[in-house]
Amino acid sequence: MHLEELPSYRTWAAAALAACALAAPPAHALALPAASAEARAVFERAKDQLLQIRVIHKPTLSRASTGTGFVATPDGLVLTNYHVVAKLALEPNAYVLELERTDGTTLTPRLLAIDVANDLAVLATGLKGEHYLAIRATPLTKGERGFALGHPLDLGLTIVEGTYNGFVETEFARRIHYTGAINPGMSGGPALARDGRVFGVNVARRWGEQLVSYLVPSEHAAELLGRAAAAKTPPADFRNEVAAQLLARQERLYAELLASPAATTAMGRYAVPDSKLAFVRCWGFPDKKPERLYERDTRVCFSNSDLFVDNRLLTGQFYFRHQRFEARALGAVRFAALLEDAYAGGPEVYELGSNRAELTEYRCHDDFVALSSGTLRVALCSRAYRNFEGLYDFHLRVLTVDSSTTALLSTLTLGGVSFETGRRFAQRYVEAISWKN
Amino acid sequence: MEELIYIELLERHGAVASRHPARAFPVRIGRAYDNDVILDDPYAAPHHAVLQRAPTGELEIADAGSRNGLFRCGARRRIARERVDPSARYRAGRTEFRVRPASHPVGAELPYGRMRWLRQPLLALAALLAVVGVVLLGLWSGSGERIRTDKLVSLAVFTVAALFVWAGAWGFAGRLLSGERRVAAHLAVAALALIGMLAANRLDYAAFALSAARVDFLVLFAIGAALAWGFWRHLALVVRHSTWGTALAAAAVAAACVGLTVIPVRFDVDQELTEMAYMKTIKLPAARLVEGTGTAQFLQDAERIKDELEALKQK
Repeated sequence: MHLEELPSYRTWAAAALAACALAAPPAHALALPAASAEARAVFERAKDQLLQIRVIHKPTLSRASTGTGFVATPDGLVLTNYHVVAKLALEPNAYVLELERTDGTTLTPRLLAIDVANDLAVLATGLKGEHYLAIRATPLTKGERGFALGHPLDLGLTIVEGTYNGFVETEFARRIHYTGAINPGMSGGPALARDGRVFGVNVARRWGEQLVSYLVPSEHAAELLGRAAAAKTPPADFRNEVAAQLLARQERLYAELLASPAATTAMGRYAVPDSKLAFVRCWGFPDKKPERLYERDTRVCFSNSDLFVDNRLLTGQFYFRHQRFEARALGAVRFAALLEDAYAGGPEVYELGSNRAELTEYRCHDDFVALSSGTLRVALCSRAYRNFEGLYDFHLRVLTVDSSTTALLSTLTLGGVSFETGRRFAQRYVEAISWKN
Repeated sequence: MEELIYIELLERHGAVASRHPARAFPVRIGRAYDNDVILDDPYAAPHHAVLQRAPTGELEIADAGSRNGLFRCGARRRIARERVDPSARYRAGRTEFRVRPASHPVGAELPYGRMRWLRQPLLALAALLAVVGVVLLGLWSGSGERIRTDKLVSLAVFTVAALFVWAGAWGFAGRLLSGERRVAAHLAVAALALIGMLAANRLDYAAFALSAARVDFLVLFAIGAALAWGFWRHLALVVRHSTWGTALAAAAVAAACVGLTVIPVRFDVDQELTEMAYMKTIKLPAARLVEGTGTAQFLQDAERIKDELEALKQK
């Protein structure tokens, strides 16, 4: 939603390069300030363990995506992001991997293990007795200096000094908030502490903001490396592996969403579903225009739980919206027409993906539903993922139909859940709605 | 004494342009001035056809040696000589004609149509005002905002202008086909059909009241019926006299119009993947006639979606 998974190349790289050349400082041979000396030392120690990862599209022999990786074990296992190698994982026959080391030599590794939920992947290179970047076991403290390495925009190996800022509090996934410029192409590169150990893996930046970057905490990397080393061979079909991991991750998300009793909040006379979980954020929009003969308050809540599966498929969305309509000087017929328009749908319906190769069309069920407070018009729509068994998108629309002066329209959107969980969540959502008559 | 016969020269639309009585034979037909019936047609020969009595007493028509030939309308073979058929139309050059004896039977007169009331100019005015009222009401009731007067005025003007253009076009067609414009009647027909279609839309109240999306079909049917009635009356005003064929043609055009708008939606032609097909009709709370189900029951019923999606995945 606000996060940009770092893709690979940008055409403005050349323009940026020209700008940098103009701004280059005069090369005085001065003693380096302490901080820069530190960055230089970290860079020198780490650079030979870094690799540029390229996913090559076989039919055209050209790059489909690039990213960064690093040697993480003595027997040559390389860590990177899942999203860097996603194309290969899902379509192994159309793509091939290529690694380029800092000294210019290239390797052809194979994909060994993935962790879709934490956006990590392990590649096997077959190298032995390598120098490697060790994973740090102890966490940093807020304010500590960190060094992110990678190949931003294909400009060459780069080190970015930044600040460790603890964990992102509003994400479902555990992510480190790193204040430093991480750019496309650096994905999968290591973030090193001053001791040269890896405390995180570059993964994303907030789009349109400044220096707000996200890292995957190193403990997830250690866990996946352990799993890869134990398994030794890759799963027969990564697509099934992705499907299983997606389903497991989504069940974890909804277990958390369903764990506490349904929370509600007040919107006028209505009590509407709410969430007290830290990764679900809500915003309110009072919305009064002088020419309107009614009032409309909008409350929007969404979780930061989006998950990258493929360029064509983003999932994990969780989103709900309440709109309270209040007629000020609007007759019953005109108020009903207003609700009809609102109920028929708006732009929020289009938030989920729309790729025919990945998703079926929607199918809906709708009816009047009686609650103890009154009657609702309810429509539940769902569509299936074509390539990931057991996953569905859900869309629920609920409108109160018992008054000609006030109404509540509530919509719920769930991206990528099992059918049973989606249905259960929809039921709890509808039953949480109540109002005073 | 020879029986009187008539040679009737016909217009394009079948009306008689001129009648030429004849009692003495042979009767010669052609472009030359020494004929009994003189044709004003460059494609007709100076001496094109001739009518005469056969020795048996039968009336015969024969080609008088034309280059372009004598034809029976609708047939391709040239006529050399044959017995006159009073119900047939003959063609010499580009001129069509009939040959009928005075004893040719004719049917009873047609009664005036029951739709003559449509021709009242006052009705046209009233219908026009009613349409403007209904259209403005639609704009007003469909909006939750204050409506500016200029918007209302421009919609009213546009509606009236559109109806006049439509009625004028039919009038022009009528002028060509039957010589009568009848713009006021066309205006009344167009306005009434439009009111009918707008009223048919309001059958969606039934869909809401009964929670039955299938009522959509009823709405479409009613719209189609109003449209068919409109086309039928327009056509009937345009042609010399309307038949079952006129009504059928109108029904076919209306069905085609409804079909063209509905088929792409019904059969998922280029449907957006994000499109959700649930009943989008919401009406006054008091219009609801059926009770709501419980949430558990609703979600139980929703289980069928899963099977439908499974079937979609297989496609």
